[in-house]
Amino acid sequence: MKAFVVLLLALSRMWAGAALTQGEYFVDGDPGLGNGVALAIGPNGDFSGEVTLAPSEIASLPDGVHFVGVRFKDEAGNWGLTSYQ
Amino acid sequence: MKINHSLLAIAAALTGLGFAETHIVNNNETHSADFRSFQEAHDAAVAGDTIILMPSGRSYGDVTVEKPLTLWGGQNVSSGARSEVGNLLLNETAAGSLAEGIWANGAATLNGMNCVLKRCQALSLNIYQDSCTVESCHVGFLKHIGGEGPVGTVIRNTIFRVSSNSLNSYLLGSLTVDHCFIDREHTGGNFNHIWGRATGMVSNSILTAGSMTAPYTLSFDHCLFFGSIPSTSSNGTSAPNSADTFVGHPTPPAGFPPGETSRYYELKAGSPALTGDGSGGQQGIFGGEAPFVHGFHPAVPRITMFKKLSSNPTNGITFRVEASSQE
Repeated sequence: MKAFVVLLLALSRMWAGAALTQGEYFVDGDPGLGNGVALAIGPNGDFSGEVTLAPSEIASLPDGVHFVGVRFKDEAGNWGLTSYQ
Repeated sequence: MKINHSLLAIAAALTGLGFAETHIVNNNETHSADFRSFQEAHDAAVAGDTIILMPSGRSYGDVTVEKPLTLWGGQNVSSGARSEVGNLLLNETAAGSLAEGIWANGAATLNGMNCVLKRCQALSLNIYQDSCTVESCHVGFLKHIGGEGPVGTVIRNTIFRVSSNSLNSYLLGSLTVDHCFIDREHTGGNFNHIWGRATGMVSNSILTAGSMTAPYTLSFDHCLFFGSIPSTSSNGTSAPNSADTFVGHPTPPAGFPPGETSRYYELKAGSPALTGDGSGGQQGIFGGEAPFVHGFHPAVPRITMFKKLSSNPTNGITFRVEASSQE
């Protein structure tokens, strides 16, 4: 029984909060919710990965300071805050 | 018994995957929690864990983060209870940490690279290391220092204050400042000695009184100036009527520390800043008097890591992103 409880605890941790359905990024101007470049959500509903701006994409930008924005939506349809770098 | 051994093996394998732990801290002993002090939780935490400082009527005291952690707090808007600390220090060994929803009655200091301060309040803010982000915060005096100055700092949607040299508030290194409200102490002085040594871009922001006539290495774009418009500004404009843009409270609102007038500002109804969007076409910050205030644990997706990993001409620029929904 104790082992079973440990298993349930382990599984509950794995499944907790596994509800992202959409992710996206954009460069500079905000294209509006859902209109960015899509990020593939993992099978657990989380996102853990890399976003790469290709040299060609960077070359198309004018000189100056640029932002990369990232955000995600959950299964309830809520978009999170956009984070920028 | 055989099945139990199998289950145990599976459980052991799963726990061995290294799930990040969440440690609940509450110094109000009438509520359950994993720990009563931040330090106890910090001692138990490992890199990647989350520590939640539950909103409380008492300060958690000075907080020093020495591991890459997520530190969450918040404010119970109805009761006023908040996650209050004294000084908040993200140390060098805490590189990559996130602090969100914390009310620091002392200085917030980013001493680790790639640290993020989000939806926080602080009496003053010190940024010593590269690639730090300050987002949707409300801070007093800002110091952006350390050697030649940190590079890659991003400050967005934030109200902050800069002051005279006598109070040792100044900026070095490279900055990207966007959608901010920047107040300056001493209306009879100027911004020159404060901004004059930094590089980068200030955009979509409101800058209060003071002359800006130095040969700036900072560029300004789509900003609203209450003093003169610096020569490096494009699309800048002087405030046609400051009363239409923001108001300052003559006395501190309830719960605000005395003497911190930079925290009194709020955007007035009708301010263009209130309807600003992310396109860069409008000016100002988002939010009102206290944009950092939020209900505890809003049930929206949360980004726990967003930092640049590499940048080179062959492979482009790669960022590491981690996000999850709220439980």
